[in-house]
Amino acid sequence: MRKKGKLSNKSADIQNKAVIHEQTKTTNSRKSFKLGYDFHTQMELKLMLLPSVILILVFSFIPLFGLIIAFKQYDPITGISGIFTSSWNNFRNFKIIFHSFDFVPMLINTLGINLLNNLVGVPVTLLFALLLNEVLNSRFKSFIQTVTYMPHFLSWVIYGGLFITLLSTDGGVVNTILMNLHLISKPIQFLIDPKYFWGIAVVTSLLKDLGWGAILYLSSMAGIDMELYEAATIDGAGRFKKMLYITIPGIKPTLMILIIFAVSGMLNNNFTQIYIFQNSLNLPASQVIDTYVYQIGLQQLQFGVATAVGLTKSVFGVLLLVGANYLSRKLTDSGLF
Amino acid sequence: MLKLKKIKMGELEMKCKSIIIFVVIATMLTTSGCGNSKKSQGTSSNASKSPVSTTWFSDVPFWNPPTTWSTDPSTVQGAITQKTGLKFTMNIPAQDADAKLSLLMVSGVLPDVITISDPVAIQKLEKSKKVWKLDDLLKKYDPKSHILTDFPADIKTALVNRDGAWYAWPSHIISKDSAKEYPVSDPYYSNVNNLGNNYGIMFNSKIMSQAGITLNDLKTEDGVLAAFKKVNSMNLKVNGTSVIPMLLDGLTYQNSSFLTLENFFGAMPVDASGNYRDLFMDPITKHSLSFLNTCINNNYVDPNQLTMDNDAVKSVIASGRVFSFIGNTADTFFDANIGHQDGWVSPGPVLSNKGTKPVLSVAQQAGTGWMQTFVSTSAKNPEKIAKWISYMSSVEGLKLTWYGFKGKDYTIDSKGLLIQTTAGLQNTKDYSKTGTGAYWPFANISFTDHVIPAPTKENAPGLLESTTVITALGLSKDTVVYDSSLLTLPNNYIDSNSDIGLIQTEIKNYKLAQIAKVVMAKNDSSFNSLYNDMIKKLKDLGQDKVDSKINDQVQKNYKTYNSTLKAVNP
Repeated sequence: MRKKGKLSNKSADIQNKAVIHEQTKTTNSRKSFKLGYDFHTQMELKLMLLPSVILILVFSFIPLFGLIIAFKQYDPITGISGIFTSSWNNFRNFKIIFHSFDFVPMLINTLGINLLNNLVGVPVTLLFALLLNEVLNSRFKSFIQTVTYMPHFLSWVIYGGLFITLLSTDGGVVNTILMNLHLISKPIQFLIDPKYFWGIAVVTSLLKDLGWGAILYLSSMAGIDMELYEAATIDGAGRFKKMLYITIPGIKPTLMILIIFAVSGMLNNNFTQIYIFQNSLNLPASQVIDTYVYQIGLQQLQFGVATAVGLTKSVFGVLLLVGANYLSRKLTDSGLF
Repeated sequence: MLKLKKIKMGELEMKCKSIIIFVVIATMLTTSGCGNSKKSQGTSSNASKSPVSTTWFSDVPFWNPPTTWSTDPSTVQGAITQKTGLKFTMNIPAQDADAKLSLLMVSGVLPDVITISDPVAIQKLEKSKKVWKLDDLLKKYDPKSHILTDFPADIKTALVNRDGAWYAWPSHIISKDSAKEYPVSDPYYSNVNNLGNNYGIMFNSKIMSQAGITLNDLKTEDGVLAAFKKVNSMNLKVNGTSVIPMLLDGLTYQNSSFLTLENFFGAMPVDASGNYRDLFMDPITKHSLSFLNTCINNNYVDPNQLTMDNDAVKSVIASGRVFSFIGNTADTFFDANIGHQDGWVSPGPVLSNKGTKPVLSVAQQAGTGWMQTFVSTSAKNPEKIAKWISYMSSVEGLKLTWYGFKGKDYTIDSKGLLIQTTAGLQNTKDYSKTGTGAYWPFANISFTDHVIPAPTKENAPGLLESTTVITALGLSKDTVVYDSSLLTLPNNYIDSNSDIGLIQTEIKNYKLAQIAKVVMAKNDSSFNSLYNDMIKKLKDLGQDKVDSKINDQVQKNYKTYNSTLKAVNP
């Protein structure tokens, strides 16, 4: 018994010492940062990160030199060396874009589809996550989660093709149901009439990524301290009030980061989705910057013009990111950086 | 205890390390041994002449030769391999092939053989100097090739005028010089060659008889519209699905169905003085657009058709529920539906109710074919490829690739003409599996018109039907035929990066959306407003500058050919 007592005292001492050591280490590391200090202690983590770093270096940083094509009269037949040997044309490529008859409609479509996507997508995904979080039956919860995030793994070619078939005027399910319910007298041309395009883009995107987007919120909700909910229960708060006063403030940092990403990505559309649904008839509503770059840059071999558009988008994207982050810090004290 | 454990762990580690080292050394020895044996096998395989793999790229998405190359000598591909030592890996993207080719050009890694039809891609490829000049290739690697002596001189001149040198092997060879080498077996083919045109209108005679409509009823614009109205109102069905009054040529309707209407109603790319102008600037274009608009608003044409790809068009035609098709009839493969014949007929031109004369453009000088086949300078086996081209274009090669094996797929009659057997006809129909008739880049129309007899209902009902349809417009007494050679431009005439080239790109993009808006207009006032806006916009974008540039070359062509073209319906 004595021995046991002695041992237990010893182990408690060791534990205390370990805690003090860790605290000191952390304090020391905060007080005096040395580059490479963490190398040995975090080597495994850094090694795990290495493939992503290499990927970004190889595919995002190294190709940056190609941006000079935006200021050159580049012809793809000259190959990679042509990037350096082509003649400069200053801002001619930019003028071609900004003076194009299609520029303003394209910009409106890009911003409009993105804005609508974010205005609908963010609250609906959040609401879905909140409601799913309240489900008590774990089996049912898992089932719903699985069913809603499965479409995320389908390629847009398949998913879009499915919707094209569903929305077709020639035997499409949606039109057939609406006509059988006598809600319409003749099929609606969903994929042809430009006025439906934005709606189709938003709805299909929402249905595909609803479950996947909710995962982020659900994981954030899982990190909220349960004691807060217990305290709220004691104070007499119902489920709705808990959601409003605990859950939503608890996931605010995650929400703000996602909103910042959404704002900075306002000039980027899901190219594959738009391309699948686009045709010559809905072009006035479906031509966005990404599809225009693809059409001009790759299909019509105007690499310089396409690069100029990409560069402009990136510059505006960075400005939007910085601006959104600044506003987020000002308003909510949380941000990306 | 701990110490003992550490020693044992150390020993284990040492053992593991030595095992790993042993395995690595063993692997190295084994693979080097394999390498040596492969080399020796390589030597012996050279002696046994195993086929060399070659990549073949094309930008024609609906060209579908067999995707897997068989080396069985009893197949067409196997026989080609036996003769040439080559086997091919086909690379035919379903979409945006020219975009893929441009990326390959940037990377510097081109396929060995490239077959393309897009003029911009052809221009870029030739300018890149990454493809062989054909005569240089043949002189170097196959100096005894028949091509160097018997290739039609007029086609070669046309190719050199277009490209500056002879770079490409053209498909669908037909010209005065090729006809001298391979005279037609029957005067029937002269009509087809001189007046045949894939762009036309055809009607399903089975549905016509169901609806009580005759070919005479379909000769005028009003007659055709009345027939559509009748078919629509009768609510006819084929296999439970509704009959489609008119089918357009899918996604390509602007360059196909619309162009056909322009021919019917007499629009020409020159004005009354002979100056070039874009076809859209001809006022008759408004009438063509109005016809399409009428058909869409009256539900004769489902707007979804304007988004269909070629496979969907072929499939709808094969279903038997199409009353009429307007556009490039070759896109429908209607003549391949042997045994499923709907009895397609054509009234020729549909005469405009405004009294204008229909027109047909025919190249009276030698053309440059459709698909252009290039050999990349980076191809690893240029000698074999040169000999392959010589073989594919030879009499033996053409007979094999177009008709198959003598005795099995065809026989020779008393006149020395080739008669396909039932098996041969079936193999031609299943060309994407058998390879018989699959190698379009080497199509030689003069040769095929020389070796086979004129089609009859008994021996070639599909061919008879198709040639009847494609010659209907040209043979009509109302049609005015003009020489389109006077309007040809050299391939690099307008550089896509030049100011004029950029204007052309803008106009092309603008037309794509605007034509669709115009034909979908809900009523006449909306149609007129959209049409007028379109013409004004085209002028604002610089259509006049493009027309002026092209007109300079057209005027030179007039002097070269000592002929002038003027609008038939001014």
